[in-house]
Amino acid sequence: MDHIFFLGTLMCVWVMVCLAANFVIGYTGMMAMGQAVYLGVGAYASATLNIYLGVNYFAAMALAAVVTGAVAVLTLLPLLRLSGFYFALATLGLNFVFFDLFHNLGPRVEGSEGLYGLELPAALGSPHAQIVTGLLITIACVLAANRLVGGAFGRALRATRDRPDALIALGKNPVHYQIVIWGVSGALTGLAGALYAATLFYIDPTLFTLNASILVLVYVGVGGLASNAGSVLGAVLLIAFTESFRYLGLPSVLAGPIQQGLYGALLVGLMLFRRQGLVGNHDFQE
Amino acid sequence: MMSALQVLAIGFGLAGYYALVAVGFALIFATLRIFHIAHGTVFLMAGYVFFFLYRVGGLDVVSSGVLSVIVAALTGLAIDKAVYLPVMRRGGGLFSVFIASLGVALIFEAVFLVFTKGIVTVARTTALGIVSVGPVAFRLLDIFILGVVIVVYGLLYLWLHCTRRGLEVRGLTDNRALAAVVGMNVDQTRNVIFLLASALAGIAGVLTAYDTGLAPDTGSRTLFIAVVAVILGGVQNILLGSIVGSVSLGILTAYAGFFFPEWVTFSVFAMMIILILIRPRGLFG
Amino acid sequence: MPHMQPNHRLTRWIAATVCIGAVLGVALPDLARSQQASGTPYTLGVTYPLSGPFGAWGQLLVPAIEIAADHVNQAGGVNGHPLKLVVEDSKGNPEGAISAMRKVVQVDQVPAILTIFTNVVSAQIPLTMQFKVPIISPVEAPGLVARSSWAFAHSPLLTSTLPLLAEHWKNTKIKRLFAFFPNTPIAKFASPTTKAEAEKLGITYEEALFKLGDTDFRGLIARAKSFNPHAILIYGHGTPDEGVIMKQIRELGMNTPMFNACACVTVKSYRESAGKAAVGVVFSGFKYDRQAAKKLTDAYRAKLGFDPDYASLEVYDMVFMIAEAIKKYGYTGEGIRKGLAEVKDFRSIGGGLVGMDKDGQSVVPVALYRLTDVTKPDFVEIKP
Repeated sequence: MDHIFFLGTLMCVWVMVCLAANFVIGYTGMMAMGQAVYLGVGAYASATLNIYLGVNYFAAMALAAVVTGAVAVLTLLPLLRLSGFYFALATLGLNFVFFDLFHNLGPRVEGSEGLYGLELPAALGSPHAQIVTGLLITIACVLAANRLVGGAFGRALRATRDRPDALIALGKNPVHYQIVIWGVSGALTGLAGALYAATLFYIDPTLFTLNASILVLVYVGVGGLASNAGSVLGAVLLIAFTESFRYLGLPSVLAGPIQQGLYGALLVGLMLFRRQGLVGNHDFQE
Repeated sequence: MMSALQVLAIGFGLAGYYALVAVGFALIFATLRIFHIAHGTVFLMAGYVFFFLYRVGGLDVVSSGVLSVIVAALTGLAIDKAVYLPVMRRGGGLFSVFIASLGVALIFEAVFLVFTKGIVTVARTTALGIVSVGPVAFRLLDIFILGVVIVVYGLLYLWLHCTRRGLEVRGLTDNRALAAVVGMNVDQTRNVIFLLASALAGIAGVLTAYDTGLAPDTGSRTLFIAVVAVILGGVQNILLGSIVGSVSLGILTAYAGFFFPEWVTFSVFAMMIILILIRPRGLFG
Repeated sequence: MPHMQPNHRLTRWIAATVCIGAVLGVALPDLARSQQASGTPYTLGVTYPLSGPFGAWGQLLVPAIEIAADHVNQAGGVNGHPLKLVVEDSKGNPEGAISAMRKVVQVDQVPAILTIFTNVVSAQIPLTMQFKVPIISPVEAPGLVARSSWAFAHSPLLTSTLPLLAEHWKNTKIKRLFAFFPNTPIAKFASPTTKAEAEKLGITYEEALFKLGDTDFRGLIARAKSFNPHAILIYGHGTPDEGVIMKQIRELGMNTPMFNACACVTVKSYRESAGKAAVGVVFSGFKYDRQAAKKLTDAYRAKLGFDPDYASLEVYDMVFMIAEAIKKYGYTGEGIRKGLAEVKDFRSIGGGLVGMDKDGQSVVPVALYRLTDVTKPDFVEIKP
């Protein structure tokens, strides 16, 4: 059962990342292709605070969210003048830039590539506790996300995406909304990163690569753009799909490639037949 | 000083590879607005076919090379026909096609992984020849590649500027809708673009299989470099942009490899981000 | 874009819940079934990368592990029980490492795991103590397995392979040495160790760190060229990158003798990418007596079509070490851990005798070789 709890906590982490990614990609129409960067910043920030400064892990999680939100805004500011596609490419390039930063500058434990030795409180100490805490945090995030996109702020986000001119006519600045939501998305991803570090108990730069960013894109794309339910659905279904591969009894050397090929086919099929994803409210536009 | 010249020679060698992949990518992106991630797949396909014909099958190097380039051209065209065209017909925009392209690349990568088990595949069994001019060593292969690049770019220039089809292609770069209105056959031109660009990627793939060898992830790696080259140069002037982008990138990576190898990728993408901030449409945009 | 109606939204959430429920409903009974299935065979976990950029390692080494298990079973198994392997993809990253480990321990109930890679081992070490399940791997990072009494490594360390090369450099009067290491933790100990050894011999020393995953290293090699070395040492994880470096050294017109301190040149991808440039390379590493290893070599060749590398010998040994530990102390995590910690005078498939030190790092016989044929591969043992 512990194995299921562990997978459940992993799902919580990715659900949070997808919610965050969907804020910017789906609701606001900003093509973010570097979500793994912020996941890594959050994980490294919380782990460093906890291991080297002895900060209580829950406090470290909160601080990690703040730090990541700030890093997200700082990385966004110079990119704001880029439009559509070039913006996407620049965020994609961030993956490579931050991988080298994590790899060359990130703290590591003697003899290994990454960082471990977290001091976790009882509420995160075992898989049972982790799934409960993870679920509570995730549910809180989902509820908050629903409130966030449901109200006036959410309407402004969608207007930023669809009718920036109308927003300007109302005397509001679309860029303002873009910065705020990017910061919120970064902070939520950072929080997920902190939970990720606690779940895995060990982090290294190989976790935060372009592959992870693409995975987020796949989860969000499958679940559905501009839909919190889509974020939850995409992450949960696809992680369950991936892990169920371990039980199909396929020859071990074929399981990995088959899974990867199916992911590819899923993307192609989605773009052909259902661009808005399973329960999305919007589809990929230029 | 000697090292500086040697590194420069290396940089130009790298630029040759980048230029071949970049120009095809730029051609497709500038005219059809397709961000062709699977261009790296086409590159790999040629390399693997070449390995199979030349090293396993024992065919001579020229016929294997030509056949592989033909297979690459057809693969590129097939990807367009089977995936991009239908997605666009159903109203998909730039991002939809981009994600579909990513899917195609993932599928092919998985297939290559099954067949090669991830082991590096090198088509060559002999050592590469080199010529030394004083203390600087040049690889004959690099000189050959640069020769190919000059011929390819020269022919492309003539084609783009002196033929009716070339004119149509340039028309597409400027204004797609207008090109359709004046009655040019966009579909046929599109096929020609895909065949040509894929053949060029195929040449690069064959040469890479001969040089350092291929692994299933070599394609995406090469493609990202080419994308950066194209963005550096800008897509408005296909030939000039690609070649200037490739050469500056080749020299940058060679010098970065010399001075701070652990930051090569960082410097490439940092430079890309800085450049698109200064000149969002590339050096020649 | 019109506002979404509340009931519409509710339907979506219901749809989402139903979908998730359906997937869990399919997955859970499967889990339960596989838990019951562990009957008479003795099951061992194998968490190796099988896909992604490191997939080649699993594709090359898992067959050697399977051959070892077959050989144990052909000889009557362990106390009459056949060995059975559960292979899971670790993807070469911490998330995959932990998913795979939790699956083989908590679902398949294995009492011991064969694994690989520094980052995977680092991620699994905390769990070994929690689950009381030992892991054994061919990692060559000093101090890593010392962190836990449940982690073991079977591999030669640089401190034992480098002296052989140093002896050779002394006898061939090498005065200038250039070394290539990857910019991973391996350089952290390889660099000072090599430097100290060079200083002892009065050798002028210079080094460069390369980035794993790059495809062209000639910029870096140009640096070595301007140093004008008498010998070049290449030491790393046995990735194809190091083979490319060997080839590109020759392509920059250098004829400097090249050395390798981990027998990595015997790895298939490494040999492929180095090509003819690797012929004549002198390497020290795990003892690989072709006659002694024949049993493995024949089976491996029948399965994959080429000869096994040095790491295949190491993983082959590990299966037999575990089998002996079970015979001695029983089929439990604690028993296997005790048995592995006590390994002494174990006859390796490579020909030498192996013992385990107090940290769980094996002390293995090493030898010096010269590569004579890169495709087969063929190599001869030489005197320093």
